[in-house]
Amino acid sequence: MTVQLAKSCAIYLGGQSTAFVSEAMSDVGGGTRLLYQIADANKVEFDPGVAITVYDDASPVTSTDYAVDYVQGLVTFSVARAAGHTITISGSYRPVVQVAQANSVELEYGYESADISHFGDAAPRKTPSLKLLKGSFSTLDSIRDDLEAGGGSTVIQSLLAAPFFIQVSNGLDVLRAWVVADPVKTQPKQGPEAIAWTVPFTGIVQACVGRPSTDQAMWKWSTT
Amino acid sequence: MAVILGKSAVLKVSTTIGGAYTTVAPLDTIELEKGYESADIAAFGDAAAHKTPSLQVFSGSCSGKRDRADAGQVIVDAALTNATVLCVQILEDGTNGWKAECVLSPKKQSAKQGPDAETFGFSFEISGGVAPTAVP
Repeated sequence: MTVQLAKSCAIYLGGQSTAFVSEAMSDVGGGTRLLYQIADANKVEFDPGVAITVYDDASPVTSTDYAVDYVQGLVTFSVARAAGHTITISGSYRPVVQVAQANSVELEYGYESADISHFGDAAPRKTPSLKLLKGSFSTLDSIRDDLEAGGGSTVIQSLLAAPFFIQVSNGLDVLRAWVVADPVKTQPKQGPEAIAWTVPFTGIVQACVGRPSTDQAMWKWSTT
Repeated sequence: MAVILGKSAVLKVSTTIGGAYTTVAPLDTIELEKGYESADIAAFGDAAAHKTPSLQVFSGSCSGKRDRADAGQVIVDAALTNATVLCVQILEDGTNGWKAECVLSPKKQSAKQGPDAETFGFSFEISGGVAPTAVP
């Protein structure tokens, strides 16, 4: 049994969209040359608001010849690439910034159900329907603080006005998701405790610029 | 009188009602509601409530510590990720109980800075249109 200790969790938020050009991609499909991932592990969070171009030996691949997983930086080709070819990608990603003062997180992950009962059923009849992600995290950072120590700027308050990218990891699993925030909460109380902010969020589907509607940036669990 | 100790309860899952079931662990709480809903068939002149048993009820929840290596939790995760039904078996003494095809409510997973482990839980509700069956 390998339980995950809560103290191993970390919360990251997607920062400013940052362009990348001709980034290398690696075959991660066991040598099948069908499944490729951006080689730079810091750039797997593709920005769905910016068009992506995939190149095979520097020639653009027809956009309908592959599918893109926007939250894991993956490209799946419908036809295997020729052996020895170099696959690269241009687009934009959201560099993640850690919410250093985060101290709790809750997630609800699964699906809603549709009732399909009909006459004669002895018990309810239901079928899985829309996928669902809801959650919240709490932090001792003020939502007005800049989470970045360097030249960039990631302020929680500024992210709340539009869909934003969140990454939740516990040292073993990573959830990457596009979400919208519900009203944030804080409840200062007279006493010794620090003020905490709670940011509730709901997972959403994002349309991906220049991509078929089958490519939808939403959320996914992975081990890296 | 043979009481059943709470620590004996087991929850198992399977992708098919007749298939092999896998224990979900480590759990520390299982709740089950089993019975039936009633239809109100009262009419003028009745001196008291007039109801009749109707749809079967089999719903509940469980919670415990998050263990991504546990085979049962892996099956639950797959059902939630792929939006599929799951067959749930509740054995109140580890051997005897009931099973039914169910839809799952979103899994709840939480972590709080401190010494404790991550927790997880999920709810289930019968979904196959047929009554739950006894086990074994």
